[in-house]
Amino acid sequence: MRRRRLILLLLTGGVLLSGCWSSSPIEDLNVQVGIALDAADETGMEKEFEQKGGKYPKRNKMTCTYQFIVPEGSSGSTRDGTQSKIYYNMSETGNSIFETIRELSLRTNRNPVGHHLKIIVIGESLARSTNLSELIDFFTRDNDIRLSVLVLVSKGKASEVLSQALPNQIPSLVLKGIYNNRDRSSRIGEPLSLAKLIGPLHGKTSFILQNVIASGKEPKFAGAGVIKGKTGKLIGFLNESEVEGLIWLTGRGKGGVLKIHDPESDKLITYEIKTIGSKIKAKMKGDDISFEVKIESTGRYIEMFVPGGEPLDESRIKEDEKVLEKHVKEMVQKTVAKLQGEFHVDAAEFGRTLHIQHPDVWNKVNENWDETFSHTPITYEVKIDIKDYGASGTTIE
Amino acid sequence: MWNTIMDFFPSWTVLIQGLFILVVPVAITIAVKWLGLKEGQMSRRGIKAAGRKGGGVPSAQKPGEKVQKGTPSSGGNRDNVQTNTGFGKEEEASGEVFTGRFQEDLQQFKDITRDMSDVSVREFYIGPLKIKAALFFLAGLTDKEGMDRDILKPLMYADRPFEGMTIAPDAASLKDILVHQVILVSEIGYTDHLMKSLQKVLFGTAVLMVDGMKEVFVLGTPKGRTRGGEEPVSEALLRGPRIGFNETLSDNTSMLRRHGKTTELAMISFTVGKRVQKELVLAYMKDIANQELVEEVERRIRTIDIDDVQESGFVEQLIEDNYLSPFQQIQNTERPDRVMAALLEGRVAILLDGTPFALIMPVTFSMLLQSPEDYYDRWLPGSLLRVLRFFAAFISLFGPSLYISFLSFHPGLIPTKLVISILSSRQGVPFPTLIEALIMEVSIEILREAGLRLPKPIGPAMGIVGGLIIGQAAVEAGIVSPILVIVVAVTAISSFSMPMYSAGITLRLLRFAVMFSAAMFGLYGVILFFLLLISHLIKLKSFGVPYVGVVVPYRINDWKDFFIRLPLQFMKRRPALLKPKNPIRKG
Repeated sequence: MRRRRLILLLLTGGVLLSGCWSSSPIEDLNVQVGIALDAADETGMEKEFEQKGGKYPKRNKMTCTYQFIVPEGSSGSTRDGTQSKIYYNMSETGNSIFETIRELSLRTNRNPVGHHLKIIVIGESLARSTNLSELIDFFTRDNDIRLSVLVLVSKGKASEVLSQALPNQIPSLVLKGIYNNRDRSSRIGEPLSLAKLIGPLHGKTSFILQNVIASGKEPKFAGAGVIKGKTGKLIGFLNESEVEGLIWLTGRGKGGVLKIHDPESDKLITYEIKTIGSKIKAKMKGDDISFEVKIESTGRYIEMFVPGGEPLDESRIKEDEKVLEKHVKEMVQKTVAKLQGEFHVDAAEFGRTLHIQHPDVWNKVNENWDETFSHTPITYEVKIDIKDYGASGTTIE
Repeated sequence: MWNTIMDFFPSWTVLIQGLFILVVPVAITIAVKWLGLKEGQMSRRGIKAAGRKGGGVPSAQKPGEKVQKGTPSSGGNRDNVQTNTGFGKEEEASGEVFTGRFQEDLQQFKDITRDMSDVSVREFYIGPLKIKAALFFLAGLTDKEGMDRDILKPLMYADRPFEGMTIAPDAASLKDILVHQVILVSEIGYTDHLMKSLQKVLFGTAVLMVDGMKEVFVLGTPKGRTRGGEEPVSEALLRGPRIGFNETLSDNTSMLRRHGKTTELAMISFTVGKRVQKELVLAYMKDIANQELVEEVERRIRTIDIDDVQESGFVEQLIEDNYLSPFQQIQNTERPDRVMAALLEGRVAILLDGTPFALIMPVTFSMLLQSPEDYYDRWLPGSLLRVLRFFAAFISLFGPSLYISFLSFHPGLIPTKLVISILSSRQGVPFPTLIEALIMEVSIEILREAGLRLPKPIGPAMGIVGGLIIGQAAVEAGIVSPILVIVVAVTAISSFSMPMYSAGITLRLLRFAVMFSAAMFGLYGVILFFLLLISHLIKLKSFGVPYVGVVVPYRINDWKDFFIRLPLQFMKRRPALLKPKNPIRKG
């Protein structure tokens, strides 16, 4: 009987004493949604702290800006129309990202958690001077933070991007949401999550990172930064139309606009992209590598300014297709010229194509691929298929 | 070197965790075994099962005798019930008997009924010969009109049978004349035992005592107050027969008979209760139900040893397999169609006099989530509703615990936008999620209990006051968060969607246990509890049939009628789980 009581006591004790094991109530958490990494630039508040003695040994290498969600309703309802900020940014300067986060715990009662981190924006000057893999190392090690976090670069200060948003919007979520517009615009590169970033950084291949800039109240996706695989550093930017060219080249677009003024008649042709596809073929002639790019697209007329109100017919379509094809070809060529001529990097995954199609050749050239690529001839073939005229069968009168 | 070896040993915290993982199940097993031992000491089920001590007795035979198989079909069986007045010859031998001397017997009878004011005696003369006779009956329970018309009147006017007689004939021929020519009652029995005759009188039968006869006539004229077969409140259906059992056993058995013509429906009568005896009928289909199952149920009925079986719930609790389990192993229902459906699947039913609730056994888990409507409707809507009910059962069991574990342990598993709104709504709530959820859950349980007791017109008003106003006020006052109100409301609604009310109670009960384990270990605790529940369910048996029998042991054929109900065209076999004598249902 006594033994049974003992067992019962142990049992209840064991269950009850364990209490709320590793419980972390949601209302006690500070939910991070975005992080901006910049070259060291202490904020006024930090300077004040330091003046008053708030110091610890560190090298000022970078300034991390953390974006937290501010719960509404902590002081009554905000539904009365007042435009309030529902996020809050905190900056900390240091040389270890993790340390700066823990340093925040000295400033707020609620613990930062990274479950809901969506965006990491890296400032230009930091990205140019530091290997990216060093910057994302903490984020890939931490087990709270998901590998689906998207990484962007910013031409300028990254923290500014995180401080711009319309009322009742959270900048980080806005940035993440812009990626959903890839079917609207062909100037947004593929979203690059931490998971997808690790591969190229590890394999030392070059790639592009979406660039985001801020002005006034709104952020804008503007071109892309080019990361050189060898160094893992930012070496320059592609502008919007060059990114567009890259999208056409890789065929990874989901939709968007192709607009041109016909050089002969100076009339406007606006083509809505429905599908883009591209095939890259690596050709070997002896030891010489060359690529053949075939781009195909379907779509339709969406906006045409042609005086006279002529009806659209097959011959018009053929003509316009030619014009558009030429335009796309030029755009792609410009992009590749910049990659080959200015940056000397292959950010368009030609290397991967070669790797797949001619693995033996790839093994030979892979060491110094970026340089080899810069001298590789590439031929283009563009085919555009205008499927319909839109709802109206004629040009504008 | 030692250090490297020691490194392989886990630290003491890990060892203690391991110890608990070992101790908890062992402790539970020991506790259950100990309880079982105690129960065994108290009731000695085994002895009673062997028929050596008390217990329910088949009406048609002496205790201890082997039950005869394939009892003659309905009519004869029911006659048995009425005509067999004895409960066992040994008992009759003891106690007082009628002597045949009228005045003496009359006095004897009046003596034993001195403190029963409702037992009436009517003395009269039979026919022209003026044979003294007395009729005992119970005011209120006896059909007086019928008694006057069919017993008193023919007896008193009995001129023709006695034509030409001057003195009263001897007892044997008098009995012959009375039974064959005078009394207009179909159910006649005889006894010479005083107490037995009193018992019959108390049950509403009229007992006729005639001068010079050692036996008295037991004339079946009971007319208890009965209720029509109204639609059962607890098992209302949109489609299906609108009839439910009532409190009279003969009405209930006849409802089963009236379901359709079959000569295979067996109804075996038992008498249960030591002090207050009641009739109990075991019903099954002779050519379908597994013989072993029927025998087992009979054996268990015989173990019932209690002074009064008040309701079929008593039977249920006394014969179920595991009284520690939160799950019911015997299904109760008020619907004759449900009973018939179960019988045709090869199950066995028990009907008890005095209650509209019939018992169906064995029960499998899926039965708790099935409604007769699933079969009456076409198969697509039926399947949809059934899947919905499984989902509702899940919510009803795990709703609040998932809320607790997500909010207190795993905020990363909630979608970001929801996190934002939950964050806002939880600001200013002073309690941890467990306390918050307990407050709301307990108050809604109280509300539900109160709603049951309240008079019908107030009930819905109470629901509105409780549900809407208290919920709203609690949110406004900042005691609970609005999200929790949604969770609690959905949970409550879900538990109402269980077709079996008692199954809903089981889930409600378990819900609180899950909430605590969620509050302690988060989702991990929920999973642990789920595993505990599953292992219990797998071990549980109802009359030898695994409780989750369709899943473990795995029988894909029975899945036709599990999550979804396939068209009737596909359901050619009866559930194989019950090992029916005749496994083919159609075709």
